[in-house]
Amino acid sequence: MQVTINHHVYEFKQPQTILTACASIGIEIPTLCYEKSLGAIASCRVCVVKVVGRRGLVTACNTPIADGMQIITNDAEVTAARKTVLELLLSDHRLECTSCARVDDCRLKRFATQYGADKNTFAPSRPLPPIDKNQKHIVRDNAKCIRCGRCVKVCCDVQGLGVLGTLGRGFDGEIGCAFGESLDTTKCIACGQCVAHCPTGALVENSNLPLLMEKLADPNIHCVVATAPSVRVTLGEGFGLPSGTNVQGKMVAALRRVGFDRVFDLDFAADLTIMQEGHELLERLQSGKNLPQFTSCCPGWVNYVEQCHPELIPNLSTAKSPMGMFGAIVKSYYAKKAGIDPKQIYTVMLMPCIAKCDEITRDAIRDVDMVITSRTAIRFFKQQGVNLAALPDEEFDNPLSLSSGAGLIFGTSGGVCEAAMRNIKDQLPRSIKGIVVSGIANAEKLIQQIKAGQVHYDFIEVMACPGGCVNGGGQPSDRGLIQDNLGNARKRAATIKSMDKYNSLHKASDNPAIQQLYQEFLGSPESPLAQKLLHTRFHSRSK
Amino acid sequence: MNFGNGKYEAWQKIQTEKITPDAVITMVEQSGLRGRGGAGFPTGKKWRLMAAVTGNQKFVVCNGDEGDPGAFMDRAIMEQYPHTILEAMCIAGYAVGAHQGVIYVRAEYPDAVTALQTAITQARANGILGKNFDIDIRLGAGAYVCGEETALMNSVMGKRGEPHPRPPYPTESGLYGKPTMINNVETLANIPNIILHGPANFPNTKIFAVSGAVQKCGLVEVPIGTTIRDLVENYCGGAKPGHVIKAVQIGGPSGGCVPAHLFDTPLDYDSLKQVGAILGSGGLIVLDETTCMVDFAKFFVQFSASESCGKCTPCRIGTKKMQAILERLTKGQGTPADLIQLRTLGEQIMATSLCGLGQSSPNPILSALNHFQDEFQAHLQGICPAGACFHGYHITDKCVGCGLCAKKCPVGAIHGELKQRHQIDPAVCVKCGLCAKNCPVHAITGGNH
Repeated sequence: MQVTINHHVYEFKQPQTILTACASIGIEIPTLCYEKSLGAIASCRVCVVKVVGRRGLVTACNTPIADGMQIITNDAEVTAARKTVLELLLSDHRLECTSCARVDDCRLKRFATQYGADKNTFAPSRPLPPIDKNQKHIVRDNAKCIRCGRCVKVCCDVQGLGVLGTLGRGFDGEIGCAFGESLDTTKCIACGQCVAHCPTGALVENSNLPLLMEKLADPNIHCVVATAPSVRVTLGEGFGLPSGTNVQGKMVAALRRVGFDRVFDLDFAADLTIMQEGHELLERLQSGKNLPQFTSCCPGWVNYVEQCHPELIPNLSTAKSPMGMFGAIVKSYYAKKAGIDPKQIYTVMLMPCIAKCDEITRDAIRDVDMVITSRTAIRFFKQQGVNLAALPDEEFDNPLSLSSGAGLIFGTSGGVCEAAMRNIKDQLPRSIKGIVVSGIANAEKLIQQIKAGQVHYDFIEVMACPGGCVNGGGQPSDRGLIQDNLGNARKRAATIKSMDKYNSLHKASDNPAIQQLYQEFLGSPESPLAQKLLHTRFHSRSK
Repeated sequence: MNFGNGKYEAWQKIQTEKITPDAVITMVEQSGLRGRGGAGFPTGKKWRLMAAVTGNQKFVVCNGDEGDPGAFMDRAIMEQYPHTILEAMCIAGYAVGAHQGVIYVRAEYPDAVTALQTAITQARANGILGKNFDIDIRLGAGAYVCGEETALMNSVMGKRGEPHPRPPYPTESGLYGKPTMINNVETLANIPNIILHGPANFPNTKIFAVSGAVQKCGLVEVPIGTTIRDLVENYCGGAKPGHVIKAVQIGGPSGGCVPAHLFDTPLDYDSLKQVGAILGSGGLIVLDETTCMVDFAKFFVQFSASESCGKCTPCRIGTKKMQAILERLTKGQGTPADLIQLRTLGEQIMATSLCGLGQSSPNPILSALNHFQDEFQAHLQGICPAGACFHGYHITDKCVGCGLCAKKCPVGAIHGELKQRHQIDPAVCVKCGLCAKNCPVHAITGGNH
């Protein structure tokens, strides 16, 4: 079909929206509420364009192109309308960009700057609402909220939780939980997708950087950090590198530059998890009990089971998450080997996830002292003057770093299932059926199908975030003009898969560091020590 | 068949004369009936579009969420002629191939709800409803925006009453994702007559809810095309004694005002649009010289701001900023820049808002600004010609500086040099009016002076 855009005629073959059609020919249209996987919400109205023959302006995000359509994206009227919309949003905004955690990738700041929007065009209509710092993991500042509705949509539609919604009406309405309750009292699973989808600084994770700096500066404390599989393909985005760039070596160098005494690879612990979890699956297949076995490495998913499906707790793998296992091993095996008092070791995890911040509040995971998200790490490096992109590649420290490709692919949806199968496929007593699901709404659908007896599986991998940890709630958001977190995550996942391909160690049991750990310390997966250190129990927290 | 006040003659005519759905739609098309809810979409065209949609389940919805201030046409119909609505919905369902109807009524109309409920029970008992077609009632919970059709459908489904962007249109994906057709109460009330007496005999009348500065207020049903003057002077008795009518406001918070010199404008969809008003749902407020147009505009923008659902930026924040400007003007704190911003912002809200409510909410303000520019300008000088604003008094340049007002003022709010124009400090003034009463040259305005 032929479409005239800014007086030039273009030919489009695919039916699509004005937004994507314009993007494909290099015409930029700003968007705040639009995120590709969420679809058009059409609430922010900053993407307005003129369509000849239509009354008023139309939103590019949800208006399909049509043959013969004449579109104007950049005349004085359109530009002024966009500027006004941005100025309206700024008028009652807590404009504290310099101290805002999201200053680097704030979409409001990006387009307000582009359009020269002035905060003072309209006088504020109310005192700024207070910042809610009382929730365990997530800080909400409604004075920075632009009411785009993304957090609500991802919570309700993608995660099926419906924890967030709009309270009240009109100008005085705000986003929050029903009856103004704290997130902590709801069935929020701390997946953090609301934070990852927030285009401004209205939702951020609690900052633990002051405490981290204190620990790093203390000469009596041995600070170790372990990096989750997925963060090595996301940190670069904060330093201008393309999506999915592998910055493993630079990340290690950066963590050393900010003062960590040891930098370990959590992929090692992922291998360990697969050893235990695979062994557990074999046992269950033999006994026929507690099948299907669900993975339990995703703390968002575990929260969901404990809160909404406690009847499935026996089906969860009792193996601790890689993070939980790592904490236990650091303060036992590593402490002994390195000759350090475990009390002097401070264990930090660099994770793609806000639910991991929640996981360390569990009794069984108390060996881990702190979780920082990849978003927070990017800020921290910048504060410390560490330009990750310019650093040389460095190697992880030993002994807790050598890993197989199977440990690495934990970072993307399907990886845990694949890693388990690599390890145990030769020992299976019968042919089994496994399935991989990500996104809680999808998981819920699967649970209902299983309960209705429509489907049968033996092994089920669940990741709370769509696409797995590469799209985790603690990861930097896509910086593309048309924001597409899931598409961005696919690029990250592709890098992980190619890194796996080039790893000579294919499966966890081939990993000599893992073999050494069992020989020197744990014995076998079923040994009492392995069971004590590497397994946990879950409890109903039905809400 | 006759029960309650329902005769269902048109419905029976369709059945006995075996009029096809297509022929029913043709009759509605030929009648020229247009939607009475505000937008004025041709009803026959809407039905034709809906009939063409394939789908095993379709809904017809009656929009009884009459929310415009001062409008109560639909209420009267629902309370007094509920069977007419049911009959029209049966016909609509038959014509477009729907088997389920929903009447959405605002909960503030309990008598209408009871009347409709009783009528539904009677219609079911008499075999009109319940076989091929049935009707349920859903109550609104007080949000004005739920009269907007996409928000209405969300409300019916138990969701937050917020509009969603179109496409998809209700006829593609409406209630529960099924094709849905929504007609206003008054629109539907016309249907049985069109069928019964033929489209050629359709009188094409519209009910107006007239209120304000006329001798006779109330519901007036007149043929579309009647002039405003005819309605105001002949049907409603003209101005109250001693007063002069200066404008009418038509169409509620989405409509606009028409000044007296344009009263020969016919009350029809297109003529009113040309003068900056809309036929709308039929609320008509008559204004005389005691109403300040700036204050009146402020009332409507307050209504729109407080009824905005808050989903889209321009309506949520823009109406709030327009309200602030009008508040400044009515306090005498406005500047010429405010008037420019009021107009620009109003036009941008109309161009960029998500739903019809936001797109039309600046109408009353912009039309008042267009037709009564002088009143807005006067407010910049601290003068309210209608004496409604500033809650206080203002000394004009007629002042000779005698100082009598300052002497009489009980709170010492008036200052000035002898033989110079005096000034009133509004922060101190208690609006007692003694100054104006005692001024020998009538230089003080405000209150009733």
